[in-house]
Amino acid sequence: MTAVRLSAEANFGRRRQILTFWSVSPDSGVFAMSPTSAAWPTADKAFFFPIVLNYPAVVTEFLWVNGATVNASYNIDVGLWIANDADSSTGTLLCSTGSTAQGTASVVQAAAPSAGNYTIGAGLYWCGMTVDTTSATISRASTAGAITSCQGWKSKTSATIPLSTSYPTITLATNDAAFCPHFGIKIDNMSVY
Amino acid sequence: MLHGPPQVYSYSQMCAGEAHQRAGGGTMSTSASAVWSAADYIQIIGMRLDYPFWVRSVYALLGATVGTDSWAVGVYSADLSSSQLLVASASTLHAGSANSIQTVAVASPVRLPPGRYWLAMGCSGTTATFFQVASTVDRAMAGEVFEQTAAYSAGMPQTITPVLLNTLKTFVFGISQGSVV
Repeated sequence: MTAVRLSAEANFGRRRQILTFWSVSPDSGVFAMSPTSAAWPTADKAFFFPIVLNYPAVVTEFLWVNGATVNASYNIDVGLWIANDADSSTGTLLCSTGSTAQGTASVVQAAAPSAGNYTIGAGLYWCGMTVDTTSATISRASTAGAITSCQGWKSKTSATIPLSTSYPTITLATNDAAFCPHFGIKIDNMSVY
Repeated sequence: MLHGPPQVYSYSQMCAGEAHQRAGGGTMSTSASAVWSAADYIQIIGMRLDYPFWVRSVYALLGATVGTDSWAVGVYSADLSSSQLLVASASTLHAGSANSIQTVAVASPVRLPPGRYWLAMGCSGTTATFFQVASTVDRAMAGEVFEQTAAYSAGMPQTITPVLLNTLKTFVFGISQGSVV
């Protein structure tokens, strides 16, 4: 009984500070991740994964893992949408990095929300990332899109940078690409055990 | 404000997935297309909801052969003796692209409070294919995967009587709080 509870808390209850699909999704445990560097599949295509937050927090940074080929002329935007009550596959943008030049190859790159730290409450959110060129590479898992959609992944075309202009509100689409980029948010927790 | 995951499906942590995997089952990456177990067969999987969950649509991961048969997904109260239907999709023709998700809206969305339920899916025939994770009776027991034969009748029945699984497939189907899966 204790082991089962601890296992559940590994995903749900533990106060993590870096929230990626593989650190917080209730389904990530049944989704093998073997991330490797790969070219962004379509320019201005965004990928999304759900974040279930059990406590209030402050979003301080967005993070992603760059691939082997990078260039400062390649641009990235990462944002956070709150899921709408009437339909979880729709959302409203809360904060985003804005256009950010890709940095060093094969390292974690971080960027703060363009308007500074952003406080969020418990709830369901979508974290999304877009890149403006297929020349850029990002660390990603390559499981088939239909399978990843079952586990919450979504995508959206025409996600031009900045996301604050292209998708201040959004209706997500089924993920049709075998591409799950490794990205997420960094938070400072506001609650104490 | 919505809470909990946008979707819960048969192989997620809140259903069979994690326990099934601990008992030797594969990850979702090992799932593959297969025919439905039998005509009018229903697969029934224990589901735990930690948050209120609005059932607005249901979905199944279609396999390589599309068409011919009809399917539906429902949620039942978790009584072993006679579990009552709480929400279900209408029986819908297996349609769409091969190896893709078919989503069906629920006519009257239902808000399920946190608790234990049965997530169930039925299909009318064995021509259509669905994605499934290969199972064993041991994995099925660990993952609370049950079944009921000859129970689907152009839709999900009002009550089900789950029997421990002897069919060695855990099909991929689920429920969603949104219109898009």
